[in-house]
Amino acid sequence: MKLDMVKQSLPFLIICGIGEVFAGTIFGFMKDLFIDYPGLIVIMPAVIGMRGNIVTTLGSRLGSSIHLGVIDPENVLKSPETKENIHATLMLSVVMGVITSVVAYTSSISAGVKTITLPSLIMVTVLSALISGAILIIITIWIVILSFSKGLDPDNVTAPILTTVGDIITIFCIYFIVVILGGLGVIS
Amino acid sequence: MRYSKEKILSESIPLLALCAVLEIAGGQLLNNEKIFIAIPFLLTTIPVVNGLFGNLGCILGARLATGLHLGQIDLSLKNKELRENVIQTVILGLLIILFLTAFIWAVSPLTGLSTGPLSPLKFIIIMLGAGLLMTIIITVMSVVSAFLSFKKGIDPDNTVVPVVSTTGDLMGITTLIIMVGLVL
Repeated sequence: MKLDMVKQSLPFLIICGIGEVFAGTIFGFMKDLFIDYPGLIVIMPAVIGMRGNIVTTLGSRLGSSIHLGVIDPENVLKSPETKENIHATLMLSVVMGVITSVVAYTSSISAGVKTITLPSLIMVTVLSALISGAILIIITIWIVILSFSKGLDPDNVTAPILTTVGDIITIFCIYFIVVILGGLGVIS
Repeated sequence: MRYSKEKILSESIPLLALCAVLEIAGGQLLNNEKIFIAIPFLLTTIPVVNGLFGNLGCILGARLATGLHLGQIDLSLKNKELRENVIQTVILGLLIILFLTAFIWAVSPLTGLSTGPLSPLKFIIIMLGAGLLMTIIITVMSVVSAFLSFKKGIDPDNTVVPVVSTTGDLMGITTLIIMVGLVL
């Protein structure tokens, strides 16, 4: 019986697990916000999942581009291909924020579930997507450059790091944005 | 230019929109179950269970895809390589859920999140039950999606990860709700 998978994955899964406990704790701290702003909890799994999907596909495309020689690993930031990918990632974040909000709002209304208004949901999802997106794009490019310069295949490292770090940063961003927008009285 | 914004957007949006619908279904389930807000400590478990089993499913999926490409795994459930991968996934799932259950309980005094009427025993039963169910679900989903896509000539490397991570989020919330309902 081979145990190669257990031996190689266990340390990595435990580190990611501890990272997720950190993300989960911030999620727990949001309890009062979920009471004050009904319907906010509905968008949480979608916003977190979406962020992971959008950034890991960016990491995957950048990894492939370096392998294909489309992007020079020495000059990742200067490449027009990188810029095009960053623009696409930010636009995708905004579009998916709006789609997520519309799906959440219509499903809540049709099921008779109490929810904050559609513009409030859109403000929260789009702002958190842009801020967490900007932070995670920088981290993605940094991981891609660093792993390549250390002789590691970016395809093997970007996705697992980005999903865990992405969860933490995304939940943090939503938390602060809801507190700030709520304090300003713009969401209801 | 190899990439264009338009191409990336048009190829990504349909699949991501489908993911959004499934994730919102998970969000509605969570919203419907008031106990998670009443006992905020339980909220901690959601990113942990979703993240852990998403990762586990992705590792198994990537290994199955490689095995299928290399011909070490055929489309038979009796295959030795497949059995060894499944057994190792179950071992990993159980080991990590045990470790993280202990870790979450141990750090709870530091975070100050209320554990409400939960006792350590009840928490262990909830987490082990959800972990066991999720290990089975994730394993079946990975094997079925890898086999089906390979059979249809689609590269399993492109299909298993999104399928397993999105359904994993929905099922993670569902299994936690089931276990909390049974125990509390």
